[in-house]
Amino acid sequence: MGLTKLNLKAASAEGSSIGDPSLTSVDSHGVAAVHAYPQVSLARSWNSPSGNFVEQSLQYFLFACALSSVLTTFGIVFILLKEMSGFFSVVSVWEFFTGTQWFPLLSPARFGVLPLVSGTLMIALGSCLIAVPIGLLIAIFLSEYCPRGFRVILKSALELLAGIPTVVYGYLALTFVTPQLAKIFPQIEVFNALSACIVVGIMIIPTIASVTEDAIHSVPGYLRDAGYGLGMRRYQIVSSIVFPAAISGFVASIILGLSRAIGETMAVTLAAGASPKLTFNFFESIQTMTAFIVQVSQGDTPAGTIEYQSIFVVGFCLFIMTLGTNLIAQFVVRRIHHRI
Amino acid sequence: MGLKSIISTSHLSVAYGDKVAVEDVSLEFESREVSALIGPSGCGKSTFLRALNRMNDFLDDVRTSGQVIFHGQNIYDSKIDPVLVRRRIGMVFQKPNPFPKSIYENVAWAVRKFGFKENEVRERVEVALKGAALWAEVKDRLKSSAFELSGGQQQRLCIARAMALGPEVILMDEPCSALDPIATAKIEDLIAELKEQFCIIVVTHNMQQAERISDRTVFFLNGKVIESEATSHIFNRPREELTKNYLTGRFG
Ligand SMILES: Nc1ncnc2c1ncn2[C@@H]1O[C@H](COP(=O)(O)OP(=O)(O)O)[C@@H](O)[C@H]1O
Ligand SMILES: [Mg+2]
Repeated sequence: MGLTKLNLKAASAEGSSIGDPSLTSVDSHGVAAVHAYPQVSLARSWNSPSGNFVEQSLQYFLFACALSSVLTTFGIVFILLKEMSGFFSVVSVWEFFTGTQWFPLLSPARFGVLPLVSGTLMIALGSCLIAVPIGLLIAIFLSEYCPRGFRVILKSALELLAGIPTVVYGYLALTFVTPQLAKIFPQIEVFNALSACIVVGIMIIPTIASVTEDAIHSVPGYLRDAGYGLGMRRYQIVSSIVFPAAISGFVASIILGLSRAIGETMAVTLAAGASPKLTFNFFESIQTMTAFIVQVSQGDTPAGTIEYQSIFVVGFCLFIMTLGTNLIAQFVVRRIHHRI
Repeated sequence: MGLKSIISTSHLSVAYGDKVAVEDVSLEFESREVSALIGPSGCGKSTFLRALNRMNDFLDDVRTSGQVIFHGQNIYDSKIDPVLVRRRIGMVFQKPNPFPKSIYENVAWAVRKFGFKENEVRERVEVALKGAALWAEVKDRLKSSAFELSGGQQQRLCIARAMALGPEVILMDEPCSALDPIATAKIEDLIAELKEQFCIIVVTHNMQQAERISDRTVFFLNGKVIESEATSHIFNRPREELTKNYLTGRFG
């Protein structure tokens, strides 16, 4: 013990004293011995053969990449806020959030956002109502019941479905889905929320099915074995063991689907039209937030006008809705994990 | 076929694709007896064990021939529902595999699915946990997650889970291989007690363990049974040269 202390003292007194002959120790027989250290430089340098330069530059480069996404986010929020302040100096916040009429291009203009919100919610919830059960059942079928040969076919079909451009879905809604619906519901309008919900629902089925299937697939096989070993049938194992274990992935898939449905523009514009209305009648034409933004962006609305600024405000609301969806999802997933 | 034997195999062979893992095995297992299956790794012990309650059905490309007779019926007969077989022939796996549920639910779940009333379920859970020597350790925290238990406790929970269904045979595939020596000793004690009620067939790679817990030992090599004898007999005076070599550590 005494020896160690002695050495420490010598080292600390000298600061860095590598190779210093004063750094001596005494072996157990009391014979002094000099430690012979080779001369090695340990100082930082840019061009050391160990690649210090590469390491440092890579670090700065990666940091710059990460920073760019932060700056972009701030930039977008900044622009939105700037245009918003112009908008809200003319229209009161109260009128905007509680108004039930949205006629930005008429005079007198009306800027009540609720019709756009209701339109967006109708599409988002309606399409999820269609896509979530179907997507879940497809995921369960794929991972638990599907014969191997058919699995390849089904997965490719889903990928194909996910690859179809959204404008094609919109076109199909208008030219195929709505005419079919009109046979069942004669009162349906040419542009209507229902056909938009159906095609957006079909659009997000692949997302829900594949994310959920991944989650189900990652449930370890030994849990299934445990169930089979207890003489349980497959549907019992799927419903009571596998699905609960995969539920956070399922919730995540719903949120992804919701976000896509909220953000979907092209198909909805084509299928549901451009009539902002505070309604929950799926047979009527409505307008979503995204569809409104497209409508104004494509028109010849001059920059700086109130109509022009309104799309930034609507964009901001859209941003908040998607963010809110994601936060709720995180909360739900954490709660579920906590319970298990 | 002995009258006492509860489960027996007759010329049982199992192959994965072209690879024969179990070859022409005819054995009998009796109630209230512990049988140990020993042999070097890869000799087909697990495959044989899983063949006894049709757990091999879930693997791809498995071919089984020969018979497994349980209650006088060949469980591979096309008229047999394998799910009903597994309810009477329980299984405990190598790695403890509790469900991501509470301790209580782990045992209660399958019992409830068999249509028992909730008060009967509660009773069965308690009996099973007592039977698996776990009750004293968990009775105050039945609602907490099974993952909070130690590995040894989890394995006893898995045994309780299997017992709660009232099987006649319990198959165990190296139930102690993931456990420390103290937890292993507890499982061994438990096996000695369970013997009073069940036919237990346990795979082990630990020869001392086979000697300690079993009444009968079956030595497998390359998918074939080399010797099947009373444990005291096989460890003291093995009939076959191969068995003697294995037991003295000359291979495997
Ligand atoms: N699922 C499987 N697919 C293909 N071959 C397998 C599978 N399981 C085991 N085998 C092979 O069968 C043989 C016996 O394996 P196993 O029964 O697990 O032996 P043990 O339990 O005695 O170690 C081994 O050669 C192994 O590689
Ligand atoms: Mg094995």
